[in-house]
Amino acid sequence: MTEETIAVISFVLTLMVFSYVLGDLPLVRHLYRFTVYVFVGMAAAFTTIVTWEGVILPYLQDIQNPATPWTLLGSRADLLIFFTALLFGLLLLLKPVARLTWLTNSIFAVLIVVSAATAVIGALTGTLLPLLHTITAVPEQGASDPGALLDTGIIFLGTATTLFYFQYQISDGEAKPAPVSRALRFVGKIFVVTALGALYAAALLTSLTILTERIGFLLRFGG
Amino acid sequence: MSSDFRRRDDDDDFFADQSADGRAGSSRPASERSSDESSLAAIIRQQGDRPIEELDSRLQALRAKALSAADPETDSAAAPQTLYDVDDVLVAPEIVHKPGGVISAAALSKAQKKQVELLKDIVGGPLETDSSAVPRRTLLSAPTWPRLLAALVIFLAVSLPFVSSDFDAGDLPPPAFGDDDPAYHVFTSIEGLAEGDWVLVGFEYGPTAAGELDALANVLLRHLFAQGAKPIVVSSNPVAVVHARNVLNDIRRSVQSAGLRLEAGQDYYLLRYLTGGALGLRDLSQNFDSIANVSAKGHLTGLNLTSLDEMDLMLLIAERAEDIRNWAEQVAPATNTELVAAAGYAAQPLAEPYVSQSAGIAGLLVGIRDAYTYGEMLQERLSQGTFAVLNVLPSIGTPPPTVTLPPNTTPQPTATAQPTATATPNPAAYVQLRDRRQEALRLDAMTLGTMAAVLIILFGNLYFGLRALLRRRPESKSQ
Repeated sequence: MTEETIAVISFVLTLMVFSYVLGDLPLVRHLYRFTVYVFVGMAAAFTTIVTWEGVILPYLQDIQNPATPWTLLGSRADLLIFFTALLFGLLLLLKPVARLTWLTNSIFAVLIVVSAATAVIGALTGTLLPLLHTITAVPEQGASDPGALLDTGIIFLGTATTLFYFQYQISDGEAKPAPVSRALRFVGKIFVVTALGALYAAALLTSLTILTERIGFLLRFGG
Repeated sequence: MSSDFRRRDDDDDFFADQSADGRAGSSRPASERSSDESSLAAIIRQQGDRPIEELDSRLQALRAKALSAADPETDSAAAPQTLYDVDDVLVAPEIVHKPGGVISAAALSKAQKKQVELLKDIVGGPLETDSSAVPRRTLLSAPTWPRLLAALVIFLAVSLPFVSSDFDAGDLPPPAFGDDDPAYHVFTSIEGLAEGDWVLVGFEYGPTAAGELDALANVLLRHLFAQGAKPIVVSSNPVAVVHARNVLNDIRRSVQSAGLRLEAGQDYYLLRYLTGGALGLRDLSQNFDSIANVSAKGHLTGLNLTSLDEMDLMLLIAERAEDIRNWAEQVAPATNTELVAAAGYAAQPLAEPYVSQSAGIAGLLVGIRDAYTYGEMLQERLSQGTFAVLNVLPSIGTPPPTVTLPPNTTPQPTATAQPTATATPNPAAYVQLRDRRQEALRLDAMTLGTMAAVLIILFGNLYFGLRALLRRRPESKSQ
């Protein structure tokens, strides 16, 4: 396919995506949907191809030719891994069979437990402990750098009050939270709103960056 | 309320048209409807002369709610203006002690409750609706034109710099990063690499973010090649693997067209897709030797690497904050090798907390502005001649002479083709960035687009704020 053909297809698809701004109108609505279907279909196809080429095929080749050390685990270990994965995959396909739901649920349980364990370990070592260190660390310059000290103070205040805002409260229905609790929650709310505003603004900037690229392409193509 | 069930004909029709299977009666044959009327609807009609007061309070409240929900005027007037407060959306759920001592119900926010009600309405409502009752929407109908207007203003603002040089909005980004800027740390980390150093590149974005991150990936990969480093590209996103191949092929073609060498499997490596998201990244940090052994095409790479510690730098180019978090959680703690990152604007707020020596990411580049400044710094280094590797890079090698056998028969003379110009190897091609003018125009367009968006948001807030204020006044007067 020539570059000109690709450019024409890109031009048409871009216009079809932009038709979304016209809203849910007869005929127009199909233009946007068609483009999304194309994108989803292409993504699914690429996922299949990449998984086949890079993940499944090496194992198959390894099984056929034990002399090639594809995974450096040895052919016996490769066989074990491959057939375990194959068995798990086949069992997942049995999900529609009501009587065997316990079997597919067991596979899901294994996946969920392993994922959760990995996530917890990662969150502890990669997020919680380093961020705790950042929050509680006194700046190296100490009191000589009021700016850095203020930064640390704001980070600490923001973290503490935001956590307080999201705390689970035990209440017996009628009792209202104490004024101190309400004040801390209010401060936490300010930090939450500020964070949401920052996220929204950042998302807007990303959208505009991508939009400029597409508009530039359309104008270059049209001009 | 002293009226009975038959006070309003339309209400009565509503009940009469509901059949036992939940279908709207208007879309069904008359014979079928009549038979239904003799059964369910007839029974209801016979009950119609009972006063409402005989219903218990729960049913009365339900009826009142159903009548108000069925009123299209109140519905259309109230629904689009509903903006939730933070407490409505992110409410801290309260745990209420029940006699059993166990939490018996999930706590939902107001917004969630409303969405649940909406879902109930949708699922529990008639399966078939009368299409004639739905108002036909046109291009100029009320709900469409504000969106059209806003889109038109932003499109116009973004287009202006591309069509005329008169709209040069704002200054371009600075030609260099400040010394304490996290972006400068990325530059110096790559600048410190020597020829043959290994760099693990996490390529975690696909075509959806290409408009923003391709510029960053381009300058970073070119800088790596100019330093003589060898990137090993991995991704936990299958589509990103395909996109990474395209980006690398573009750079390879431009470098080769300048008479220089850049080959996959020798100067850079694209490894297989990491399955399982965070699990795949954990696998990368634990079993790097196995993963580095297989390319994205399923071929043996021949790399004899056993651990991430053998990498001289790790570089992450990510679209989503979740990818940055996954790398900071699953990969960075497992090695002593420094990790630097490049991200889009949308991921920046959530990536910032990880940017410090203790939190996993040592440096961060963000968006097209940093890409522009980075490109300027590369050009500056090029003009200074400080890329030592550019002076020693081999050009495309001349193949060794082979033995030519004497011809058995004398061939007929053929016309000699016109000689074509041979490209002189140009080492600067490694960092020869294209579309610098286009990037400057995009920055101008972004500035104008942001201004337009801010104006629209301010106008919208003002308009809806005033409207809500004017609506509240009559309500407070009536009370």
